[in-house]
Amino acid sequence: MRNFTLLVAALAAVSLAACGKDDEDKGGRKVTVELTDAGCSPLKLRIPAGPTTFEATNEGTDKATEFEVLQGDRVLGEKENITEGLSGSFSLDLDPGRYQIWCGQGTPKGVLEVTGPASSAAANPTLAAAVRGYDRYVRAQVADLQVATRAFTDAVRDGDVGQVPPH
Amino acid sequence: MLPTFVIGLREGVEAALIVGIIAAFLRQENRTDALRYVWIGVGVAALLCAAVGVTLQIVNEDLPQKQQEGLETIVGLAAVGMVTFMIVWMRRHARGLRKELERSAAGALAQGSIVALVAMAFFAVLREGLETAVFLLAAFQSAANPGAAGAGAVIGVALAVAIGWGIYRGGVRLNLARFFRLTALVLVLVAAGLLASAAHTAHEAGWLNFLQDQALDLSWLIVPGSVTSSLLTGMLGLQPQPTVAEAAVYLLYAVPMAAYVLWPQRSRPRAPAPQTA
Repeated sequence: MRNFTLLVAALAAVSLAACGKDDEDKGGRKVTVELTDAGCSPLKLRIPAGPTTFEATNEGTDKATEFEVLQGDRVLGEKENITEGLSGSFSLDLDPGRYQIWCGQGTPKGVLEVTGPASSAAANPTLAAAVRGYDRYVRAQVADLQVATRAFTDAVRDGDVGQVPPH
Repeated sequence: MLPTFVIGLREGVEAALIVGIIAAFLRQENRTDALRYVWIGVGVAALLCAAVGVTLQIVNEDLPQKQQEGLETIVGLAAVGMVTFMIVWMRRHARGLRKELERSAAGALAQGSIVALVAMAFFAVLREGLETAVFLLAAFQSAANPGAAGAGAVIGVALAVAIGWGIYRGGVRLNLARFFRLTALVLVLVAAGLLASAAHTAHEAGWLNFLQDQALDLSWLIVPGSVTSSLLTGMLGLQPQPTVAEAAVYLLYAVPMAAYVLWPQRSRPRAPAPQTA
């Protein structure tokens, strides 16, 4: 009886969830990859940098049931168990560079090329100005520190401990 | 229907295997009191997984894959520890058991070990159950053929449970001495497979980022998407195309442990155990 109640609850939840799906936008660009007998399709992707939602769909293959984005040996994003008729998605914020896409064991690895400006922060003029300003500040502070420290180390080296400023 | 069946079977059989081994072990130890807690733990874990799956659906969220893989890694490593403990324990008590002696106080399992075994059964179900619950719910929403997809997944999980039950019943039927002799080697393979699986999930959790080149190609034997692949991957942790890291941890565990259980003990009764880790 408990199992039956659970099943009903699950089914109710499923139908509710089915209505709400896809309504919300997770932001950024959307890239769709299809799982096929031969693996990911397309096998070569070229996208601009920035927040991206990868959606993998399976229209009818049992050879490939997962989708991964990798950088070298590191898995950045992954969705498993995408059987026929299902889809799965995940979001990544990628910097420019070369990445790999993979649709599971037995399928070839594909290429994901990310192009464009390094990140959204660099593209924002206010943030870029702030970074430049902070850079100037740090450099000036370090220069001051060097001058003061040299005076101190020279005094110590000369054995003139009285010269050492009381801090 | 077949693809969802295969995944349901694969996800389910990993947990069923661990629970089946624990249950058979406790039964052989005449700890039916502890066995009750195992079933309760399994039931609670299953309900918990169903609740999490339904909740995620309602709030329209995905199971966080990295954290899920991380959980699988940690529980998998704990399971390796547990199975290793069982192997060593059996080995240590093999002589007494061979003579079918009454269990002496020295041979009895400590209460702490019992608690650990019960906890292990709970976490084993939780480990695979979360992913399975989410997958089952998704299968019923499959755009292609929800009925067949859902039914396939449910039958897969049901078969996995039946296999776990079979391991338990089979383990109980064997007499004590044979149970230990037969299972020690099987357990070594299971534990080595769990270790390889942990290497696999650790990679997917982003924790293991080297030695990921393909070591060998077993996809002629473990055809991805087939029923045999789900059984071999689920029960023995064999991947169609294992990476160097997976193959290395498998062999580093399996070879010394197999030597340990196969080493004739009778001729050297007082010899120190080769290793116990």
